[in-house]
Amino acid sequence: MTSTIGSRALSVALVALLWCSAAAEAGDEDGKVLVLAQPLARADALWMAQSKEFFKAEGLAVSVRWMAGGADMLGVFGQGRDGGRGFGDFVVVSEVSAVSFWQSLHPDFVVIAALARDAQGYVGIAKAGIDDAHALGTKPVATRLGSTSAWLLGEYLRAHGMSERDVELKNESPEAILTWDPGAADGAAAFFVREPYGARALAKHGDRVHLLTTARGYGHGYLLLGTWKRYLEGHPGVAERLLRGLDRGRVYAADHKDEVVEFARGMFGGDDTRAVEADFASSDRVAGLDRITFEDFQKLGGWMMEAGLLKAPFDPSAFFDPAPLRTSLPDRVAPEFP
Amino acid sequence: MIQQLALLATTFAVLVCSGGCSTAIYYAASRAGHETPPQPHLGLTRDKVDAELGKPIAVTMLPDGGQIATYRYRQRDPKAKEGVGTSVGIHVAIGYLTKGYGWLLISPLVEPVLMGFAIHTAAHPPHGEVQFTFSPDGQLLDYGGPPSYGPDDPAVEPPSVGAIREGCRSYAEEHAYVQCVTRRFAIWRID
Repeated sequence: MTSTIGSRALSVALVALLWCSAAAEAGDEDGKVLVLAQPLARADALWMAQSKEFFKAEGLAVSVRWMAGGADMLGVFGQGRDGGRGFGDFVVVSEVSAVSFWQSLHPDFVVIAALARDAQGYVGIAKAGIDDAHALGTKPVATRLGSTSAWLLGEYLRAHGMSERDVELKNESPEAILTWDPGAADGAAAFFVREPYGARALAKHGDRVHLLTTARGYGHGYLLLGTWKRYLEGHPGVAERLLRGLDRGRVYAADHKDEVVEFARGMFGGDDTRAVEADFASSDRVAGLDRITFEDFQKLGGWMMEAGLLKAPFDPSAFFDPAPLRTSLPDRVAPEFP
Repeated sequence: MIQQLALLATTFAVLVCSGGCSTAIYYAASRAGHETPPQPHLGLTRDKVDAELGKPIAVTMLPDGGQIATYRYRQRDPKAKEGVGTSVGIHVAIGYLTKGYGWLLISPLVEPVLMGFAIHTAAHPPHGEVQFTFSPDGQLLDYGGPPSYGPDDPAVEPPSVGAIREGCRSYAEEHAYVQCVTRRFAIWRID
């Protein structure tokens, strides 16, 4: 008799346990997740997690809407701030855009992980004779104002005891470096751009220009994974599973360059894969929130404050939410993150 | 007499009908088709899009498990719209130049020719093609195919001069305020 009651109690407890864990893991009623992302190899963890079905293994049906322009992408994502579906549950976005979006428009937005970063992909190309930061003094320096390149130029100048006030900034698109005349007396002394424009300029202008610097040691351009606070609250467990799938994608991508390049060719077209290969080589796959990320965002917050883009000093505890990462990949969260 | 009247009435009815036939065909053709490329609601299933636009003429598999489907759709035909005016104009001109008698004598001869053109125009409308991207689970994800690969260096918009000045007002001391404004002006290249 006792053993019958005991076995029944055990069965009930087991069923309850299974039901509870299933409910916690399911979170989202159908496991469907929509991610908005740009076609950049820095997001190859996402590419490989999709194509190798690492998300599926986590019980998620992930769709990625690829969008060319970061501003358009955030415009679509912003339409879902009140919970409307179809505007993206997660967004993969660069650091300057993410902080600006969060601060100016949507404080309900949070970043749950840095997917990847890149320092080698941001370069300063100077004309011959300009060999250090001080040689740029009072001279025209071209970059796209308000971009990651402009921020990293600011960090480069600051690291050499200068600031934007010591040079004459010019607002130019990255493509302008290809029509640049380095010999013109009143032309730009240097361009700060995102690759592959630097490499193209070096090839085009020959020994009239040279690589002045990369962003290494000054900062990184990031791809961040962001979402809404209310999405995290309303869909428990989904972000954790997404991060686990992304981490498997990160490891797989790092070891399978050919598959990453093939994915880009099949998904985004074009036979010239040099830009993909260059981005693959210079990307630092993070899938976490580490100390370097924390330090870079302290610098970025300072620069955006100086630029008048922030109304209050940058607060990492409001911008980042490390909770999903701490649950799914606890060793990827540095103690600096609250 | 009754037979003659009946014949006259029938002839008149046939003329009226045939006179309007080419115009009616042109009008119907001018209203058919899509004025702009069709854009079904995002999130619709593939079945529903197929039901609206017909089966796709080409389907390409994507590396992420999704698909690009190409659909052929009927475009609205500007030639049919012009045909309505032309057909009406010809019959009006015939009536005007013959003081109405031409409608009985000339229009019945012209109308079969106009109808032939109208039927040909209606049977050969212009077509366009649209591409849609479907997610791996078969939902309409985006109009067109995925973008081409390209590193983007997105930039945020500069604050206005007024916002820069206002933002620097937190510096009570004048020198600090001037420093703040000049620093921001330098970053945004404002003279």
